[in-house]
Amino acid sequence: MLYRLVYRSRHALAAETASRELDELVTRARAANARAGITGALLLADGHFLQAIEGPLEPLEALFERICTDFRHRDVQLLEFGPVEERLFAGWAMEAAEVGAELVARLPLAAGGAASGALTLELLRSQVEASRAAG
Amino acid sequence: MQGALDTLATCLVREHDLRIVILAGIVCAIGMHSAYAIGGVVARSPQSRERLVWGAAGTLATASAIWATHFIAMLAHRPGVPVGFALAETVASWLLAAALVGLGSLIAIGKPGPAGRTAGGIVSGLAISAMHYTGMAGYDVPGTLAWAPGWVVASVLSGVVFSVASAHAAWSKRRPVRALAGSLLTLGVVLTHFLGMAAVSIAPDPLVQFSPGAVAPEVLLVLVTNAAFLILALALVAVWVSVRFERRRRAEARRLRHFADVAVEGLVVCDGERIIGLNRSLERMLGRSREAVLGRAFAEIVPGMTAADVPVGTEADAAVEDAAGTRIPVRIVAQDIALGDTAHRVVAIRDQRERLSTEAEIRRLAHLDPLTGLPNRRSFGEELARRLAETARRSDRLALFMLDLDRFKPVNDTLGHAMGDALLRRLARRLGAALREGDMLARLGGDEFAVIARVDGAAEAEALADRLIEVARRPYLIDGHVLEVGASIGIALFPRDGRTPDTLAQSADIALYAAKEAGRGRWRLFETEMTTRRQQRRALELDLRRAIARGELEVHYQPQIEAGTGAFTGAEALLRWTHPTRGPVSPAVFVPLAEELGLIGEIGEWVLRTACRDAASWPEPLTVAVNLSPIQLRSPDLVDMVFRILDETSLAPHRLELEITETALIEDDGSTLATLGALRARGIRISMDDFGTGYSSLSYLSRFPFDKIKIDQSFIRLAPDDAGSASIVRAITTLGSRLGMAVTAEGVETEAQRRFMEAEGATQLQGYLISKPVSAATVAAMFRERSRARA
Repeated sequence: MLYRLVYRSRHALAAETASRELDELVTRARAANARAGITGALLLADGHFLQAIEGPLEPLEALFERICTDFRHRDVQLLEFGPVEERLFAGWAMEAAEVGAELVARLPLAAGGAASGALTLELLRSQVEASRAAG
Repeated sequence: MQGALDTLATCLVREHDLRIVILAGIVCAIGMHSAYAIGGVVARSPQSRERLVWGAAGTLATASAIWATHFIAMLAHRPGVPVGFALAETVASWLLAAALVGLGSLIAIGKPGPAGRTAGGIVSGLAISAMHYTGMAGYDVPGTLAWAPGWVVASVLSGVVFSVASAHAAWSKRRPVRALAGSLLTLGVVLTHFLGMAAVSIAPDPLVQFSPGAVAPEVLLVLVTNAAFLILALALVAVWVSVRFERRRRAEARRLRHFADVAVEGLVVCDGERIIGLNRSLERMLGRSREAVLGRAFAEIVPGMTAADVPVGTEADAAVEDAAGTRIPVRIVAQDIALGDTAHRVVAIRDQRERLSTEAEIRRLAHLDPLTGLPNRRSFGEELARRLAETARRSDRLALFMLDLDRFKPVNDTLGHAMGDALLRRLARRLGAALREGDMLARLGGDEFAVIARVDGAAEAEALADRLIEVARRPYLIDGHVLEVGASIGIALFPRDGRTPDTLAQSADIALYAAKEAGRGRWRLFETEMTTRRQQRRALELDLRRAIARGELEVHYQPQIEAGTGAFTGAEALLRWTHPTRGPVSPAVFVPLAEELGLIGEIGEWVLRTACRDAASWPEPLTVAVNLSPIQLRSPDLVDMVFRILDETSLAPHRLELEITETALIEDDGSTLATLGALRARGIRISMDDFGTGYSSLSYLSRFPFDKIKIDQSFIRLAPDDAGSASIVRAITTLGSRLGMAVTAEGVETEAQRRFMEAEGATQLQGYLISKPVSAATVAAMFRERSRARA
């Protein structure tokens, strides 16, 4: 049975080293996720994370627990969690994209963000895909 | 030397019948060996009487054998002249042999050790010579006997020397040497005799009268033959008994060995320091075979200790070394036992590994919380005391955090304890991740945790508390469930908020309580005023319990009238508490306290019973309204309790109105609505109190057919001037009339409010404008007065 979760958090990384650390984080996450059968996408915007991860329940819960024990994340909020029929990010061990400030308002990054779950996922997907195409 | 040997050879060969000499040697050998066989039986005989009999038999056999050897050899003697034997000397020689052999044996047995054996050997050796020369004194020949002194001395010495050698051989530890004892003695007897015979020569002398009383050789032959048979018989019996003893000894040894092998403890038998036996447990403990250990020194298996060092009777700690060189902790104790006739030391060796590891496990369990692996309350207490002492010495500062989960109970109650346990394990890990090096986290029990942290000041403690609360608040995904809990923390700083572990912990607890009171999910630093507030609350708690016991609680009634007509319709029961010194205490203060203390059920039942009894005394159709707390509503006994009180007080059900608040319905799982349905079916009316202040009021109204809605007095108070409140009032009255529910306006205080409410369609009014709360008797009086006035 597949599950998917979407969470958001702020990152507590020092501004000058943030981008390097994030790169490393994503690289490490990719390798670990590939082993655990987890796929997903990560959006970085204005000091926030918005991440969707999907996979079997056990590694998914373990991964989320690691995130919740990690103090590089702040204000971790679970936006969605539940069983799903199929992967939305099949083949993406962890794709990351950074979006500009103009998009932040449309994403549920800060508390009170307006986007619904489905819209959030669609945004995630399109942004990450666009980033891949550009990269 | 050559001459001496020639003399001996001449004596033996020329003057003796060799066949008879051999016979004498055989009789002697049988006799001496049987003497030792009997000696062995004596040593093994457990009872002194048996020992005495066998001792006597042995002495008899030995003496007889020496004596018979002598006379058989004498019969072999062919001096070439007729010979005879004097009776007296013949008998005396036997008696002397018996006496000296007996004495020698007694000395050897009575004085264990080499000296006793030497002395016993000398006496027995002399017994041989004494017998021989006494016997020779009775040797009658037609002539005189001449003695060569050198030969005599050699004869006597050889008897003594071989007898002593034989005695030492008999007590030897080595079996082959022991077996030589009989042969050595035989040699002694034979040498004494033949060296003695070589010493003598017969000078024929016709003048010497041949003694007429002498025993003829033929007679002697009979006597000697009998003596030989006696010896043989005794030897056979002794051998038979010996064999039986041996068989029994072997069986016993086998049995002992089996016993020893069954023993869980390792057993080792030492002869001095040499290991001569061990059981299977010890083989297993050492990982070595019996053969590899036997014969080694005790210190080789218990390094640094000799068998003599091992205490008798009290256990001592030691270590044995196994085949791999590993030291095994053991406890050892020794016992000295006699095996055969020598003392041996048996050492019992008990493996302590299991006990020590069990003890270590017990110590670990005593200090660790088995669920989370964190230190438990006990080790937390020890650590706190230790760190406080250390911090005080260095005049540092330290913060103590008491952490308690919010909303943990519902997790346990609805998802089960396994889920609760999994949550606590994860929480423990998260809290651990939030700590710095050197901070200590402990689980005190349930969902209570504590942290001891070195801090420079309050700000640092607060920052850590923020981290702890944040990490605890993050969602938990467990088995597909999302669990959301929070944490409240009380912080006490050392030394400011307490100088001892107890006072510091108490301060942190008080701060935790304050954090919970302030709405949970937050931390509070201890403040002195918290203690005061806590104490006040404690006092109130005590007073409330006393008030219930002393009947200080009272029920007052807020009269209700029908809108428009102004007719009395009934009253709402209000709980009042007038404290003897505090004065009136607001229900807003003591009702939540009673709920928290679990007293609300008792108080609620008392209010209901009082109200029903009072209302039953009122004229028809006056009704009474009683408030139900959410806790009462969740009680499964509520319906039975209400029906029982109605029966007791004989109040008609339609005159009772039960008021519930919206909040009571929020956590409803269906059972609350079922309870209300059961009450309503009996004719009791149900009204919704404080309407408009809750969450989604409309949905409740549609789910349950309330008889009445009571508009919260906060709206009435602002109406009609406040447009917002007025429109809410209007909406509610419209809704009420559409749903066919009566609408009561609470807290009507002015004529303007009364007019507004009547205009908006409220069906019932209550408030200070109508009447302040009054006693039960006054309600009845007011009703009668109003009825008369209208009549």
